[in-house]
Amino acid sequence: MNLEHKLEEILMRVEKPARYIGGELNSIKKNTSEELTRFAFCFPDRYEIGMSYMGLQILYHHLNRTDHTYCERVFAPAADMENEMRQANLPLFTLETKTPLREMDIVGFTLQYELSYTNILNMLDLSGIPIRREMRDETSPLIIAGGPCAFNPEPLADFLDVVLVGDGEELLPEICRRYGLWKRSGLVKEAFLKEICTLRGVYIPSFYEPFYSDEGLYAGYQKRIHEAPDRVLKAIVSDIEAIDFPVKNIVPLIEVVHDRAVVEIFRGCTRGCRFCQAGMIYRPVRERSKETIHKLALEQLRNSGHQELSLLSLSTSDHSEFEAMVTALMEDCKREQISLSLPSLRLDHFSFKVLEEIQGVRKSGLTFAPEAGTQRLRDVINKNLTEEEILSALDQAIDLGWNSVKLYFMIGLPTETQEDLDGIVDLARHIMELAHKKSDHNKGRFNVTVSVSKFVPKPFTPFMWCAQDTTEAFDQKHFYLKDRLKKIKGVTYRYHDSFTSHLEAIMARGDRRIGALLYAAWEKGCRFDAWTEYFRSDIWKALLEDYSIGTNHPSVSEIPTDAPLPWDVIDCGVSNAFLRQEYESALKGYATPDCRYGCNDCGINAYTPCPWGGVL
Amino acid sequence: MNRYVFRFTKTGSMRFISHLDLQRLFRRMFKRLEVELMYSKGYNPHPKMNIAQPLSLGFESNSEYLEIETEKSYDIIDMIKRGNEALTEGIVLTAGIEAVPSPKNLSSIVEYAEYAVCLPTGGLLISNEALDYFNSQKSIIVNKRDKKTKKKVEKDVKHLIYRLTWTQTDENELRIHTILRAASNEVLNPMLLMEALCESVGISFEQETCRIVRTDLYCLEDGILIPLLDFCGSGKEGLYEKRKEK
Ligand code: SF4
Repeated sequence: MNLEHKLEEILMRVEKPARYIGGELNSIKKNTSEELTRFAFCFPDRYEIGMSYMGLQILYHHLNRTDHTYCERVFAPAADMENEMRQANLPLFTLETKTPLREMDIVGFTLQYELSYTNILNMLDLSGIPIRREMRDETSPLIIAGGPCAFNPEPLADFLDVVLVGDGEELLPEICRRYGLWKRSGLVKEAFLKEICTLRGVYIPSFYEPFYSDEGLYAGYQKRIHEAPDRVLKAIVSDIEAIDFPVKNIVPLIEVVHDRAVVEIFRGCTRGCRFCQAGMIYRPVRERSKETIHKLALEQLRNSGHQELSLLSLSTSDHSEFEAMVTALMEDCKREQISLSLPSLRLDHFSFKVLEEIQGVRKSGLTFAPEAGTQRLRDVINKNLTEEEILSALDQAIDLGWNSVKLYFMIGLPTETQEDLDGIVDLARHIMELAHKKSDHNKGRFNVTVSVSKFVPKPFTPFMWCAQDTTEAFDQKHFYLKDRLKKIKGVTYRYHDSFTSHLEAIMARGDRRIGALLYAAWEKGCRFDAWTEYFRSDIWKALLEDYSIGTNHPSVSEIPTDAPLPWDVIDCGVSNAFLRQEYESALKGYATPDCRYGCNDCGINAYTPCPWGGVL
Repeated sequence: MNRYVFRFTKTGSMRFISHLDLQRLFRRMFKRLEVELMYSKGYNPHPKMNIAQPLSLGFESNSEYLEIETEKSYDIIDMIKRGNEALTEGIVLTAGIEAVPSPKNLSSIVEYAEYAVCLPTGGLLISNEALDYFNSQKSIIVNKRDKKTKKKVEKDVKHLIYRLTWTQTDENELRIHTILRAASNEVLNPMLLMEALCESVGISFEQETCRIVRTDLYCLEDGILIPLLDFCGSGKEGLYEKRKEK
C-alpha cells in the first residue's frame, strides 16, 4: 500500500485530520525535478501553532520564489497521529507533496522555544532519519536549524549538521542554491559543509569541539578545521525595506491560533530591556516605510480574504511613522470591515484614540507589562515604565469605558527582594482603588488580571550570567503573591508551573552535554513539553537527577562574567563588553536610556549601519 | 435583496475539513471576490450564508449547496469563475443560479440525500439473495450512538431508506447506490446503514475503508425527488455548468 493510501485510512481515525492534508490556498505546488533542492521546513509543534508563525510564511516565500528550491512544510504530528503512523509504518511526510522527509535534500527546523526540542528528535525519528549526527551517512538529508534559539545551538549540536544564526531571508536561499550545485558535483557532504562554513551566519557544530575543566565546567572550544571562522557572526539583512515580504500567504483550512494578515513593521528594538533576548539579538532596528507596510497589508488581505490585520514588531508604537501609518490603515480597515489588531502599544493619548476607534464598544485587550513591582527593580531591568504612567493611562482608560486590565510581571529577577513582590500587590491595589474612586463613571465591576511568569536567564542578554531561582524559591514567591492578591477584590492571579521554566533555563544556557539529556528524555517518551497536558515532569525530574543537574549546575546558577560561555562561538553583533557594562549598571540600579536618546555603543554598528542613536 | 445558490464539490483530501472550516473558506472567498454578504441583525451579526446540509467528516461529495444573500446584485458566472480561483483543489463551484428570495433556507427544504458507496468485501462475492434479504426485511436495525448518553441504541431505520441498490463488479468491492432521508429533523447516516448491511451479509465492516460520496441532495414535490438546484431556480435558466477542467 502506498503512502497516500495508508494516510487516507489513518486520517479517518485521527483528530483534526486536516492538519495533515496540505492543499491550502496559496500553498505552493512545484513539479518535483532532480534539479530542485527539496527543502522541508519543519515547525516542531502542532499545525495550528506553526501556521500562526509569520517567520514560516516569510521563509516559505523566499525559498519558493527561487527556481532552484522547493520548500514544503512539516509539523509535529499530535499523539494520536504519531501512534497511527508508527503502527502503520508511515514515515513523516511533507504536506505539499507527501514526500517522506528522508527523501528530502534538506530538513530544516525552526527553533522558537526550548521546550520544543524533544519534538525535533521525535520528528527525525518518525522520518526514519538517525537522530544523532554521527549515525547519519552521505545519503541522509542535511539537518539544519535556525531561529532565536539558534543563538545557543549547543544543546542541539549533536543532532544538527548546520545551524543558521540571524536573519534567514538571504542566507537560507543561498544555502539551498549552493546545495543544488554541490548535489550535482558528486563531492562528499563534508566538502559542502566546508564550502558554506565561511558564509556569515553559518555554524557547523562538527567543526568545533568543546572542552571542559577538571571540575566538569565548560572551558572553551577548539576548531577542528582551519577554514571554519573563530566565531560565527549572525547574518544580517541590512535593509528590510528592500527585500521581499510575502503577500500571498498560505491560508489555513482549519482554525489556527492566529488567522490573520500580518505585516512586520520593523525588526529589532531600541529600548534595551535587560532580560529580553529578542531586544538584543535582533539589533539594529530596521523599519519598513509606512507606504510599504500599507501596500503589503492591502495586498495580503486581497490575496487571503482574511478579516483581521495585525502588525508585527517588538513594540508597535516605536515605529517612526507610527501615527500616520495607523491612521491610514485604520481608515482602510474600517471601510473594508477588517478588524485591526495592534499588539504591544504604548498607552498614550494617541493610542487610546486608536483603540477607541478600532475596538468600539467591545473593549478588550488593555495590557501593561511593568515586569517588576517597584521602580527600583524596573530600573534594574531597564523597563522604562513608571507607576504614574500606568495609573494615568488607566485613569483615561476607565473614563473611556474599559473595565479590565492585564498586568504582566516576572518574578525571580536579579536583585529581587520581598519589597518588589509587595510592589506587585501594591500596584494591583492602587489600580483597584483608582477604579473604585471613579466608579460613578464606571458602573460595572473593574477587573485586574495579574499574570506572573518566571525569569529565565537567556544568552546574549545583560542577565546571561545571572542565576535562576530554584523551583522552591519560585513556588514560595508564588504562594506569597497568591495569598496577598486573593485578598483584593476584583484581582485575578495567573501563574504557570515553575519546573518548566527551570528546564527552559537548562536548555537555553546549556552546553553540548545537554544533548544527552534531551535524547534520554525523548527516548522515555517526552514530547510537546510546552503543553501542560503532555509535559512529563516525573520523567524530567528523574533525568535531571540521573544527569546530576542540580541547582548548582551552570545553566541555572550564577556564572562569573569572565568564564567561557557555551555560546561564545556565536557572535550576535552586540559586544560582550556592552552586555557586561549593562549588567554592572543593572546591579547598581542605573537605567540606560532608549538608544533613540543617544547611542549606547552596543557594537552592532560595527557590522551594519545603525541610524537610531540620538534620533529623538 | 438578491439570493444566489451554488452547487459545489468537496472531494479528495478536502473531505477532511469540517463544516465550520468550509464556512470560513467560503466567507474568505466572498471577501476576496468583494461580494458583500448581507448580515443578520443583532449584537453578534453573522453573514447570510448557509450550506444546505453538513457533510460528515470523511465523506466526499459531488453536489453540495451553498446559498448567500446580498444587497447588491452580482453576475453569477463571474462569481463562479473568480470564486474557483480563490478556492482550493477539491472544492469547486460547479453550478449556480440566481434564486428567488425565500423565507425558507436550503437546510429546511432538503428531504433526501443520495450516496454512492464503495464497500470492500475482502475477496468475497456477496450473493444477490443475501442482499435481497437485507433489503426486504420488515425492519432494518442500526446501532446508533445516543447523543446524550453516548450509549449505542438500536433503531429501526427502514422508513428512512428511499432506495438501496447494488452491483458487485469483482470480488473485492461492492458498489451501493442509496437514497436516504436527510431532513433537518430526521437523518440517516449512510455509515450506520453500511455497518448493518455488512453484518447482515457477513463481511467485516471498517469505517476507514468504506468510501462514501454524496451525489446529490433532493427536496420532495408531489412525491417526486427534485435536485435542490433545479428546485431553487424555476426551470433551468441562469444555470451555469462549469466545464470540467482537465
Ligand atoms: S548601535 Fe547604538 S543606537 Fe544602534 S542599537 Fe546599538 S546602542 Fe542602539
